Amino acid sequence: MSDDSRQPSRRGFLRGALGVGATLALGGLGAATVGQARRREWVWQLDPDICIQCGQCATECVLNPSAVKCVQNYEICGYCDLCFGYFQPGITDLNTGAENLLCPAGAIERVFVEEPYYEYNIDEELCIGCGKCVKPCLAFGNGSFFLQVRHDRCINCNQCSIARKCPSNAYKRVPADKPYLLRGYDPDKVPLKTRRVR
Amino acid sequence: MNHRTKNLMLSIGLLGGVGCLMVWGVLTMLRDVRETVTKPAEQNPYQYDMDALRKTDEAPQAAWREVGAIPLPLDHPKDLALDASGTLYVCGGNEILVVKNGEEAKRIELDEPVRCIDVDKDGKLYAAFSRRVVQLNQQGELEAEWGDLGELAEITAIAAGPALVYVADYGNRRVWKFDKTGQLLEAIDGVNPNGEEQGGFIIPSPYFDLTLDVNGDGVWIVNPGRLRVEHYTPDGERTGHWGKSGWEAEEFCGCCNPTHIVQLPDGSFVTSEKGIERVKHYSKDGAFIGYVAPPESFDSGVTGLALDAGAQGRVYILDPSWKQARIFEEGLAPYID
Repeated sequence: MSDDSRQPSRRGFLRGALGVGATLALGGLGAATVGQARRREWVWQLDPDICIQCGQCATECVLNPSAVKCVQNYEICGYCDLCFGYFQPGITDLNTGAENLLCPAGAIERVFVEEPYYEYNIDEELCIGCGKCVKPCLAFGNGSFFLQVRHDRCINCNQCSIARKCPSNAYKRVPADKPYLLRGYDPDKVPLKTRRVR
Repeated sequence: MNHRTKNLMLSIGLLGGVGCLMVWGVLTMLRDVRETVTKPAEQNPYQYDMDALRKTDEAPQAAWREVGAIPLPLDHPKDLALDASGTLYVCGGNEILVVKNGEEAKRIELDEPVRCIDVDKDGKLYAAFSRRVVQLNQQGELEAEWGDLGELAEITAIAAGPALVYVADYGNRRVWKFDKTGQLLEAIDGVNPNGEEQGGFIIPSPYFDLTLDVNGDGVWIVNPGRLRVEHYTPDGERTGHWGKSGWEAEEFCGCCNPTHIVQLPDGSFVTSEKGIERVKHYSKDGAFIGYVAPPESFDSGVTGLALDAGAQGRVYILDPSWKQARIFEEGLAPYID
């Protein structure tokens, strides 16, 4: 004699299986979302293609000097003898006398490479993030100088005080694992070969 | 104090607290709005004054006037060329737009983005991709494909003469000289054999242009990093140069200018620049005559003002910002409203 009452019915079995499946799926989805949220931390960065070099990165940061620094993309630099980001407009003699320098903090270093090429390096300890060198480099050269929030300095305020004042809304939150927005460089196409900024 | 009174006082206290918070929030918002919107913009202490460099007051004004413009419905127009009959060819993206009498006559579709074009006296069209040149007939049909110039090649300009075709290659920092069958004859690297000036062509940004000598004596090549124009014979020998770096209207300003050049039928030159966006007219020995189009004629920041000249000396300027071929003519009275 068979005991059918102890055997699960087909409908009951399917219902149970569906329930377990749905629970597992929801659990998995939840775990994935939590994991994603944990991985996706966000930091402030300014988009160099939107930045208008208003000077407020130097004056509005809660840090002094600002966490915003000029960076140099060596990949696109023209290594010009007459660098408009380095020299004052109107000078006739290309020497490194202080009166000839554009940077108000003297944070750009000019190094001879070979005739007639010169390399320009940013000294981040001196740079105040004013962006004065950025505008002429963009207008006359290739735009290899641009401003970035340096995350070894930025304390990542909940509401960035520069972002509040930025007239062009160039500040945005970016994922902490991709914290820089570099001009003239597509990380998906070209491996990063720029020299580490001092 | 009974239970009811206690509850009433607690409620009043809570409501008062919430009210205070709301008033504080509104006041903070208003303060922010006043600070960010109504407060006059402060002077940027780190301002770089580009407008001071663009001033044209003291420059001699040549009698050039804009007499027309042809719209160019192309993605990223890059270069233009005129043939002997006045037909205009403009490249942009993978296309070449053919304009006759101001109207679009044809579009030629090619496999790769076209960087620059030129037309010879027979009406043959030469189009350059980044690494090679193709030759097309007047109907736009492909006639010949020339050899690849290598991995580093980035062609920026082409000039087709009666017997020779010169191709400016920014990537290799050379001008390649071909015969009309596509046979590579020689490379001009701009290096002075006497060793007085090293470096050859200095090209900090991707603008490297040339124009055929109108008398058939070789080619004029821009050496943008030295801010001058150099003359080379058909044998590739440098015979002279003109142009100098500086901040005045007659000089070339920036790291690397002029970006484009054309020689007019009378032997004089027209150049265009970036940084200070302007088009200028120089005599055949390189003396500044005046502006064809001063900086006020262009959108700030525009680059790639390619040039060509018509048979009557009209200058065609490719304005990528306005997507127009703008036509300028000399010898007219200044325009008065």
